[in-house]
Amino acid sequence: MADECGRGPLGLFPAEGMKRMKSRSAALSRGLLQAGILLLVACVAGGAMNMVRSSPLPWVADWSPGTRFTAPSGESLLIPLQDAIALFKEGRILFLDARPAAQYEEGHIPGAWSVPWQSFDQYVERLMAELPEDRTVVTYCDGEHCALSGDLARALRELGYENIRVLHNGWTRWREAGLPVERGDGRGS
Amino acid sequence: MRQGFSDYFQGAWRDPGVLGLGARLFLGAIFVYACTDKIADPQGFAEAVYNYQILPDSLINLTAIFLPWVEMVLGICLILGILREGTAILAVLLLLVFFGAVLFNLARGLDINCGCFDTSPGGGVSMAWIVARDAVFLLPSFYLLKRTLARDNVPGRGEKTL
Repeated sequence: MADECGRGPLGLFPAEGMKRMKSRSAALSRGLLQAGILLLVACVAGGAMNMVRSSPLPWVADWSPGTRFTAPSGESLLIPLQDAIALFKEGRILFLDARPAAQYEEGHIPGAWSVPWQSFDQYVERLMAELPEDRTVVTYCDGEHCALSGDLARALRELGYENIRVLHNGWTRWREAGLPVERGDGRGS
Repeated sequence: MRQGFSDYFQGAWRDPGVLGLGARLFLGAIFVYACTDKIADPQGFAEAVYNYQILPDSLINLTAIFLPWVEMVLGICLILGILREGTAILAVLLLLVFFGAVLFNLARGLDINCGCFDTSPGGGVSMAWIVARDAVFLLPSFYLLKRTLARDNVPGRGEKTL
């Protein structure tokens, strides 16, 4: 029986253990070098591929809300909270809640429709038929980084609705502003 | 010299055995499969990386540009069985990073699909499923690493090694 270093029971044949350890570290260092080669090849391929794309991804992008929520035309989709409140008071706004239905039921902006982005497909037809033309449609979800509202707004824009905006971090900001909220499954159930 | 060169790219693991071969092909196929969508839609992948909320904004696009190709090259090398020590190390590292990222977000209650904090049971289940899946992928990668590094890979004794 050999122990960790490969020695025999009487401490004989230490050379065998040394050899094994050496071969292990040799395999490891060779492995690290190979991993480096792999990464290098991948970087060259990825960089080259990105440069020949018809629309290359910028190496570094701005991920702040102002640029994240833009229409393909480059125009910002964001609506300032004050503008949304003003339209709300005049009754000229329709909110679409892009969060999962369970969160909508726990509380939402009064009159908002529940349009969970995850199951958008199920809502498309109804939206196409019922979205009002005379009101500004504003999507919202919850959280600084939440992308659901932007995804929903862009999808509706692609379907041809121009009058669509995003209230960034809408649910939190709406509550923080002390504005009224509504519970239950409401209109969008 | 020619032998040494081929050794270098082939690794000392000459006879992989069924388990080793299976692990290599399985992982290779998964990496190649996983990267195709990301390569086809870099903007979408960048958004997914953003949703993880782990990397600083300046690294998001770079990750979206290079990471899928690391997976692609790694997957191809795994399938072909070249650069074996390197692929074993990189596969384990990459899967550990993915596993850690998902676990981290699960622990802080972040629903990655949604990109927002969500503690609803529905969100938790899918995340737990992702964790379990990643853990399953880690097994063959550890097996490969063990086979390539922990074995007696003395050059010239290839016929005795695995």
